[in-house]
Amino acid sequence: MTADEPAPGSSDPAPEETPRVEVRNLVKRYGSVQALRDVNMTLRAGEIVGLVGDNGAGKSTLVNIIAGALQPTSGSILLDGKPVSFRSPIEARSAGIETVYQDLALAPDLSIWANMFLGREKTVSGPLGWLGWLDRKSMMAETAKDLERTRIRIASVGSRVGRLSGGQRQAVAVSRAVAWGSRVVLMDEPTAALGVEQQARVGELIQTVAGEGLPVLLISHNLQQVHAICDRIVVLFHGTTVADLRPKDTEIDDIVSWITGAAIASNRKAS
Amino acid sequence: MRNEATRRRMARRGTACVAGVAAAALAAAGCGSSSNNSSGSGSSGSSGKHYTIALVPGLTTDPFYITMHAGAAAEAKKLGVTLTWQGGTAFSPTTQLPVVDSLLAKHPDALLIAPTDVKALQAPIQKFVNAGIPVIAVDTTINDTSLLTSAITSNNEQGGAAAADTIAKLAHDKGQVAVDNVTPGISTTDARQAGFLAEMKKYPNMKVVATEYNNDSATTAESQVRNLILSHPGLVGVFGTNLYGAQGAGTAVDKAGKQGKVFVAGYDAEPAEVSLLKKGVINILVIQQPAVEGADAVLYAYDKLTGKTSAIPKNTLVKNVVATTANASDPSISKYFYLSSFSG
Amino acid sequence: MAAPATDVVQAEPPAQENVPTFQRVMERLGPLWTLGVLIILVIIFGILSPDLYTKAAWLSTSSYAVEYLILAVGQTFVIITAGIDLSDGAILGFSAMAGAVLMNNMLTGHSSGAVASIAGIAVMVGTGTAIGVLNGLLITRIKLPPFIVTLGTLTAVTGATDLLNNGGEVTNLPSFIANLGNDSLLSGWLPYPVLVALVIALVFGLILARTRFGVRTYAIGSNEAGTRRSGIRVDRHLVIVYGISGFLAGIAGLMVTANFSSASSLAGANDELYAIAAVVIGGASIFGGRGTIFGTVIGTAILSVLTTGLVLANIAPFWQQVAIGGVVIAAVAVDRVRTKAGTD
Repeated sequence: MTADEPAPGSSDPAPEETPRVEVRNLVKRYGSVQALRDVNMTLRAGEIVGLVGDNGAGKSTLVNIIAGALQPTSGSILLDGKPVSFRSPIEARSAGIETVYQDLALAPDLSIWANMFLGREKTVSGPLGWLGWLDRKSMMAETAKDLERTRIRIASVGSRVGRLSGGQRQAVAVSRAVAWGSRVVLMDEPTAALGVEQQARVGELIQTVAGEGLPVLLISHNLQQVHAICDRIVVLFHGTTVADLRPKDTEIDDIVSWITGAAIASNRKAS
Repeated sequence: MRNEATRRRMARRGTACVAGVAAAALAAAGCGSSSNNSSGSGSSGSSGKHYTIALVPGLTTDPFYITMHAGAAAEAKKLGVTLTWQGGTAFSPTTQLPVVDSLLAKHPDALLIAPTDVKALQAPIQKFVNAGIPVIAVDTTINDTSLLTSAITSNNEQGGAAAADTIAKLAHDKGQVAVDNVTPGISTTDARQAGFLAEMKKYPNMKVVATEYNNDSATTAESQVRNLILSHPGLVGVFGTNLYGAQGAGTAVDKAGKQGKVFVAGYDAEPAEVSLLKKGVINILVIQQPAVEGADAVLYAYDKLTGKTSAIPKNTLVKNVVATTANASDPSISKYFYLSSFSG
Repeated sequence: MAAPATDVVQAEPPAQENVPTFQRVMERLGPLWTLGVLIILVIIFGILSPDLYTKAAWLSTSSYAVEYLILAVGQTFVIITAGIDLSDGAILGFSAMAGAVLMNNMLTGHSSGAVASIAGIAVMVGTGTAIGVLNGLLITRIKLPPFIVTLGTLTAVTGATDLLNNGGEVTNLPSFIANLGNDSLLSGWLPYPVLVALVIALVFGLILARTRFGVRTYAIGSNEAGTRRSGIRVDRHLVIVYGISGFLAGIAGLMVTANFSSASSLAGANDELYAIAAVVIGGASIFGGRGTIFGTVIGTAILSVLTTGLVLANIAPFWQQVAIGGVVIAAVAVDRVRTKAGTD
C-alpha cells in the first residue's frame, strides 16, 4: 500500500508549484530492523501537515532524517525540487530547515535572547567584535520583534527561560525555529507537556507561522489539535505512509483506524 | 626525630608518587630506590671482626638523612665496619618495605632504620630480630619498641625551649611572642610547641599571645603572622615549628617592615631555610643533629655486635644546635647545616 | 475560556506553590546578597577588632587572597560548565616549580636575570595551560567525569612536582621575581600581585559576562545536549575552559613564587578547595549554568576577611575552622533556596 493509490479522503493534488519539501520512497533500515519501509509525502509553502502514527511507526525517524540527524538507507529528499542530503543537523539548518525538538533544547539559565541566538550570536563591529564582544542591544531588539510575531507576549526578553511557563518556553522554541528557519519548520510533539489552554496557544502560533508562508510539519499524538489546525494529515503505519487525509473530509475516528491499521485492512476488503 | 609535618609532606609525596606512576607514567624516573655502599676498611662478611651494617633512611634524597648518612659513614670508618645505604626516594612504606625485605636476604650484621610507618615496618623488623640481626631506630620509631636494641631521636622539647631562649635573648627578655604551628596532633611539632611554651614561662616579662595553625601552608602562616603583628604591637618573636611556618612568619615580618623588631625562629637546616637564615628573613634555626644520630646508631650497633650491650642506652634524645643570622657563617655552626649531597 | 489571541503574559510564577517571600527576595537580589554578607562581616569583625580598618589589615587580607582569587576565576568558568577542577592547586605547584628550576639553572649558567625571568614565566604559564588542556582533552575525548579526571591529574602532578627538584625548595631566583612579590603601587596600597589578581578578575569577568565565549560557557552548563544541537563545538569549548583554569594556575604559581622568592613542593596544595568554596559562596551553582566573576571576587573576599578577622579578634584556631566551614555550608544552603525560587 503506497501513496500512489489515492488514499481515502485525499483531494486532487495542489497546483503546479514545486512542493517545498518532497520525500520519495524513503527507506531506513537498522540492520534487520526496518524503521521506514516506503515513505512518500510532500509539504507545500504555507501548509501545516500533521504527521501521525502509533508508537514505533517511524515518525521520529522520518523527522530526524529530514532534519539531518540521520541518513536514509535509500530514497530521496528534495528541497524546492532539488535533491538534498544532509550529513548533520547543522547542514540541514544552513539549508533552512529548523526543528523544534520535544525537549525544546533551551538553556534554562540563559535569557530568552541568549537562547534565541544560541550558536548564532551577534557581535559588535570592530576589533571588540573580533574578540567576541556581544551586541546585546541588537539581539534583544530582534528577539522582542520575533516574539511579538508569536502573539504570546513575554514581558522581558532578558528573563531567564527557566522562569517561564511551559507554554511560554514553547513559544520561545518555536520563535527561534521560525526566526532562523527559512524553508521549513519541523515540530516534534510541541504540546506534549502542556495544559489545554497552552496547547491552544501553541496551535495559534503554528497557524500564524504557516500564514506567513512557512510550511510546518507537525508530529503529534494530539489528534484533536491535529484535526483542528492541519491542512493535511499524513499517517505512518509500520514505516509506510498509508494515508494522506484532509481534516475536513475525515473524522478523528477514521484517523485512528488508519493509525491502527484497521482502515487498511477494511480498505483492502473494499477494493 | 624528623619533623612530623615534613614527614607528612614526604608521605603525601610518596603516595602521590606511586599513584602518579600508575596514573600518568610521568614519574617513571624517580620512584625507584637508590643505594650505595660506603666501606670502611675491611670486607663485608658475616664472620670475623668485619661487620656490615645497613642504614635505611626515610628517603635517600632528603638533606636531613643525607647528613645522617655522612655522620654514620664517618663513625663506620673509625670503627672499621662497612656501612651500606639503601632506601626509597619517597617517604613511604610502599617504597621502604621492598628495600627492607630484600636487605634481609643479604643478611647484614645490623640494621639501622628510620621507619616510615609505626605499624607497617614492625613485621619486617621482627623478621630481622628473629634472624638474630639487631635493629636500631633512628629519627622515627615503631610501636613495639621492645624489638629494638636502641632508639635514637632528637629532643623536640629541648628544641622548642632553645627557640624560646634564643628569641628571649634577642628581644632582651621582654615582649610578646606567638607560635605558628602546623596542625594539632603531630607529636614532634606538638612537643616543640610544648617545650617553647614551658620555657617561656621562665621569662616574667614575656607572654605567649597566640598559637595559630597553618596546615603546612606558608601563605596561611604569612597572613596569620601579619595579622598578629598588627593586633599585637608588642610582638617581638614568632616560633614557626616547621619550614612553612618559619618561611611564612619571616615573609610577614619582612612585609610589615619589622625586621630587627620581630624575631623569627624556625626548625631544621635544609638549604632553603639556611638561605633564609643568611638573608635574615629567619633569625634563628633550631637544628637537629642527624649526623650524631647516625654516628650513635653505628656505635651502638657495633657495641651490640661486640658484646658490649651494657653500654647501649635504650633511648637517646639528641640535643639540638641553635644557629642565628649572626653566627650562620661561622664554621662551627655551619657544619651543622644539612648536606644536600654526600658521596662515599 | 475565551482568551484573546493577543495576550500580555507576564513571566508567570512557578506552577503550583506560592513562592515564599524570602525566596523571591533572594532571587531578585542575585549575587548582591553575598556583597551584603561581606559588608556585615567587615562590620562585625571591625567591632571585634578595629585593627581591621587599617592599611596593614587591607594588605594582609588582599595579599592572602591573591592566589585563591586567581585560581577561583578559572574555577568559575569550569564550574559554570557543570564541571570541576580538583587539580588546579597541584598545577600551581608544578608550574611554579618548573619555572623556578629553569630560572635557577639559567642563573647558575650565567644567564641574565631578565632572560631567566622571561623564560621562567613562560614555562610557568605554559606548563599550567598544557596540563589544563590535557584535563580538557581527557574529559571530552575519553568522556570521563571531570571529578575523576582532575582527581587523577591532581595525584599525578603532585608526584611529578617532587621529581623536579627532589622535593627541595628553589631559592635562587632572579631579582625581578622577588621585586614582583614585594613592590607596590599607590604608596604601598596596591602590591603588584594584588594588582595582577584584580586585573585578571576584571578581564575574565568581562569575557564571561560580555562575550560570545562567555555566553556559550553558560549554555553548556545549562543544557549541554541542547547546546551541541545548536552547532556549537562543545568539546572544543570545554578544552579551552580547562586550559584557562590551568593557565591561571600557572599565573597563581608565579605570584606565590614571587611572594616568597622561592618555589616549594607544597605550594598550592589544597588550594582548589578554597577556590571552589569561594566560587560557590559567590553564587555559582555546582550544577552549572550560573555564577559570576563578581560573585567569585566577593566569595574570595569573604573567606579572606574571615581569615584575617578571626586572627585579629584572637579567636581560637578551632573556631576559625568551624567558622570558615560554616560560611561555606550556609552559602550553599542559601544558594539552593535562591535557585529554587528562580526555576520551575
